[in-house]
Amino acid sequence: MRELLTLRRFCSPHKWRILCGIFFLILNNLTELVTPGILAYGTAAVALMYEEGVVDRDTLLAYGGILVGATLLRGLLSFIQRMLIVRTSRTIERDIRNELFTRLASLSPSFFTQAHTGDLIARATNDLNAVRAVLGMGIMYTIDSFNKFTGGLIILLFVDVKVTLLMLLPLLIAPVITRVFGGKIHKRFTDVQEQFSELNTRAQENFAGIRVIKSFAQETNEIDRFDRMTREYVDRNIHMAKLRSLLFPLVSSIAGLAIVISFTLSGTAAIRGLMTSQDFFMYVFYVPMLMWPMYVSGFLTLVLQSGAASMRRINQLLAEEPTIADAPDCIELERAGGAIEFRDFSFRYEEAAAPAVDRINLKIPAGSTLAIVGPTGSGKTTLAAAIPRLLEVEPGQVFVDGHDITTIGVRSLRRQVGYVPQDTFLFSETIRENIAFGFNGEAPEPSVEAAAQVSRLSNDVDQISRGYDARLGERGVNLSGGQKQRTAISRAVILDAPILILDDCLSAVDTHTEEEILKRIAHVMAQRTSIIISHRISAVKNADQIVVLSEGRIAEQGTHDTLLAAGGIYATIQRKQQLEEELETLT
Amino acid sequence: MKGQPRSDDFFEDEAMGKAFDARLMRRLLVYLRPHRTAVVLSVVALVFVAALHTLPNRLIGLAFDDFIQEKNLGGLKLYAGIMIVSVLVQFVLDYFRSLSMQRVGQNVMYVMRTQLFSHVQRMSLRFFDRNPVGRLMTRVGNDIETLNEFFSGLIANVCMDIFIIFAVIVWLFAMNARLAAITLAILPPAFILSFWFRKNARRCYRNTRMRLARVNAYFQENISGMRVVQIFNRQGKNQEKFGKLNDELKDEWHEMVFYYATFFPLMELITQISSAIVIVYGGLYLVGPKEIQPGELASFVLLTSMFFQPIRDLSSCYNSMQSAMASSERVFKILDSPPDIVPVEPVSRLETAIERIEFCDVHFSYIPGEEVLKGISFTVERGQSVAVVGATGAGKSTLVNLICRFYDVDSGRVLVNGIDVKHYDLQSLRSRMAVVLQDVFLFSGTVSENIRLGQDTISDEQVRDAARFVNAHRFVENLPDTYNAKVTERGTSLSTGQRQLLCFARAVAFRPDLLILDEATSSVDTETEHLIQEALGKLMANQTSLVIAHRLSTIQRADKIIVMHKGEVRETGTHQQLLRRPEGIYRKLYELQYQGQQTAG
Repeated sequence: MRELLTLRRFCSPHKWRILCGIFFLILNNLTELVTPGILAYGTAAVALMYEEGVVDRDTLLAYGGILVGATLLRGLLSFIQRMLIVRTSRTIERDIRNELFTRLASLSPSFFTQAHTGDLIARATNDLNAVRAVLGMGIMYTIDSFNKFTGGLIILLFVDVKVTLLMLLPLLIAPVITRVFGGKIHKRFTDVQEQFSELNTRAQENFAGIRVIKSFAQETNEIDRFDRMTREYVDRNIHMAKLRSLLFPLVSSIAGLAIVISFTLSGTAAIRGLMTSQDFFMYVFYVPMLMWPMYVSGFLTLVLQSGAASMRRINQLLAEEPTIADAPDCIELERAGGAIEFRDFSFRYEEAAAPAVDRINLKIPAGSTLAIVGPTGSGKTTLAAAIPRLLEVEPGQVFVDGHDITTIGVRSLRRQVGYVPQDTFLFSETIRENIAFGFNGEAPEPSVEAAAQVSRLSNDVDQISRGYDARLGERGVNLSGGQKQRTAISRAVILDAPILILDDCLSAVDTHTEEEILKRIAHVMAQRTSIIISHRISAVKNADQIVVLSEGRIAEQGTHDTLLAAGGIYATIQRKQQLEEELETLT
Repeated sequence: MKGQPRSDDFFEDEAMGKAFDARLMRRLLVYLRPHRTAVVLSVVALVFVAALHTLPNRLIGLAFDDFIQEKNLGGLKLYAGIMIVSVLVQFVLDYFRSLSMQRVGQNVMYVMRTQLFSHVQRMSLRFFDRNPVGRLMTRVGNDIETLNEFFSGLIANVCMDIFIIFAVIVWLFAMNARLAAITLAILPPAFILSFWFRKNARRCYRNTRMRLARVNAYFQENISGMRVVQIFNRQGKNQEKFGKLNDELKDEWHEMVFYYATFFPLMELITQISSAIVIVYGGLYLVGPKEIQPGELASFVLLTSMFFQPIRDLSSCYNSMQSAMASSERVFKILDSPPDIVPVEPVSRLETAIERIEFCDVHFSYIPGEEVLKGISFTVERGQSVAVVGATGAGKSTLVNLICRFYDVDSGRVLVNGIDVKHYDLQSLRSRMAVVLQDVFLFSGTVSENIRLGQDTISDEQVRDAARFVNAHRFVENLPDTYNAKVTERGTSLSTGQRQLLCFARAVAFRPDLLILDEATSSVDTETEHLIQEALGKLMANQTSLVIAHRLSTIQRADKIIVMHKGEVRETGTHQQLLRRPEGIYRKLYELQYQGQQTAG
């Protein structure tokens, strides 16, 4: 429950609304406490009239009027109270969700490789919802129940101390019940949840491994196994249902008994002439109100318990610290010249046995082009990702314009880089917004088209009915893999940043288009420091400098001609590609 | 986010439909048929519970008129006794009623969930291509849970609410028809009010769902693409956009709160107006002529206040009904899609050993118009080991899919022992083959569970023998719990090579007539590579096998090599024969892929 204290921080900007809401809630409760009294007095008055045979019209109208007036007032108070408390709970929900987003946006890429999208979304939706319930219903019902119970109790104590206290006797069991049931319900509920998640995992693996299942003709066995697991799940649910089915009737029975006791005692007192019929009716109308907290207590415990659990999960996320952040006295780069240097650069991913790159020494002069080739997993992407500091780079290993990149402000460093990542990720916005992504989606028209021309995307866009304003994704057009890559190229090229990184960005493009793009991009690359990673010799042969990576080390280094002459890995790759091309042309 | 596919239909399920659909409802109720005794008894119990629930409010009035006014202590005690009995009976009825409805709900859920799962098991791979794992999971998981809620809670709640309203009406008319009629004048405005509320709440509910879906979609997209966001320094702008979407959602909720904040107090007002009517009208016109007694009047007030809760509850049941209908529609949609790969008449079982596999002019495409196989013909005889080679995209893996009949050919025939695979009982066909797929897939469970899968007829000894045969025994013995060691789908406790060996062991343990092996391309450490090659050698020597080969050692062992290129068989022969063709594809492939690989074993 302590976790819920975090909410104080989120409540404080809205504290006046919440306090006002609570104030109106209390006023509401005070008014509500009057209603049973009016009913009791009204009914007693009618009883008197019945006995005496005289109808007092004014008294009746007065009671009716007060009743309706009180309810009107209460309605108004309750309206204001809900508008304040419940609405604020939604506002706070928004605040927390915004904060979650901002926090996530500040975390390093390494966080996202470890986290599960489903889990993060669950925290921003289900968990947040549980927390919100605490703020709305949780606050309202707690105060409401408390007020009704104590208010009703005080009033009835004024009527008759003995009857009131005796009436409360059955309620003494309530804490025992909560204690006994609380633990058991928690345990059985956990059992149910665990089995559900086992069931889910089994289903997930079955669907994911359906080819294995089918090839070994295991469907029947899988069905049997799933059947057994579902049976177990059902059994656990019924185990839980036994408790639940007992708990709620038990609580109502306790309330029912309290009503019977108050009825019997007050009735007896009335018959013996120790109590007026007015007081008798006080019990009739007030006791149900007093029992109200009994009914909601179970529900309230659930809201508070799950709210606390969810708050903990949200707090965990909010407590994540970015592993890549500005140094205290960092410098801001206006526009870099673009010289890059790696000095004994090593990097090991968390939980990896071997370093991804190992003591790399490399100088890339401003304005020159570096090409990186090498097999999958040789460290090409790691090397490139270090430059805009997408990795937790150690100080003193990577330099831009002679500045250690860990001393440069992260934003200003990344502004120097136009990056085409290996896995093309586009957003479900328009093509224009995607290309102008680095300009916050609002780049001048001609530059968007110019950038689209560099990657030969413009012809394709002309074929699309809404052109650059066509939305991508689910409710829009679906681009092919190659078109997506070319959009990503335009997105990087349009920035006019001094450093351009192309990470295997033409893999889904056919050879003919690749050549054309390379021709156009060569022009752009000439003005910048460029790093191009590719599997294809055709893409790298014109680079000023080519390095061949193997298992995180530089295996070969030179130009196209010197590397071919050396007859090493690079030369082998080149020969294989020639063969591949020959195979491709075979019909 | 690496390794996490971006699912575009993550939020497809947010669409909402009607809250009541007679066709869906009828179909759902069919599931209750086996439990009709329990359901009928529960409903009867509910009638009694509703009656008993309202009883004290009538007894209190009666007691006042008959005993308190008349000073009759015995009568009061009698009523107190009745009320205690009623509390107890209500407790018992409610307990058994609730438990039995929960049982019914759980059993219906059990039936639906297993039915759905079995149905999905019968579906072809095309179905799985169309339906991402996440979507199927939602059907089997959340949708069925929603229906469980519908059967075990919702139905009972709706019935209870209606019965209480009914019970109250009966009591009122039994006491005084005239006052009852006047009091019930509150019902039309109450219903109009709840209709107004429901209409607006429904609209708001839909809007919030839609806005929430947008917020979630944007959130998810940004998590998946956070790297790109950070590369392009877009955090600020995206936070702003997210904030806007979030604001729209909040505003929608605020509107929703308005309707709730208006509805509840107004409903309360209507209830209290009815109380006022009872007191004023009753006092003015009925008490004088002694048409009604004061206790009855009290009962009237108490009973009319019982209207409020059920009417309010019924209005909020609406959303739950809507979700239940939407879930059932999605579940039925899957149950209604027939399995498209089923044996064609005349059906035969493959009872004898596989003697011969034959492809006759097979054409096949995954996507209509994009042919992957363009007239493939070849045969595999008993005892032969055949290697299929070719560049990526040549259509090699598709052959596996067709022999197992995971997919049906567009034209041509795939024959096993001279009979088209279409005529075989699938179980009998597939259980004669063992397939090692290119993507190594392990299930969460122990090592031995992964070798024998669900086949209990495979003994522990056979599991060990199989592991020994493929060189997996040694490393398994070194695991903490040996054959009972836990493995997970993507866990890191085993190396890639070790996982491959376990898949080999799986294939061996099933003692197939035909081994189909799609070699994994991922590289493994030299020691394991050696073990794998040795295992492959033994596998291929001992039985009929069709191997999609990536290892030089594998093709060299094959009795026959089939060279595929662009969906066609281009060359057939042994390694030596094929190498002799100077301009042959195999020669080029050999240089490209196999040269430089060490031959071992």
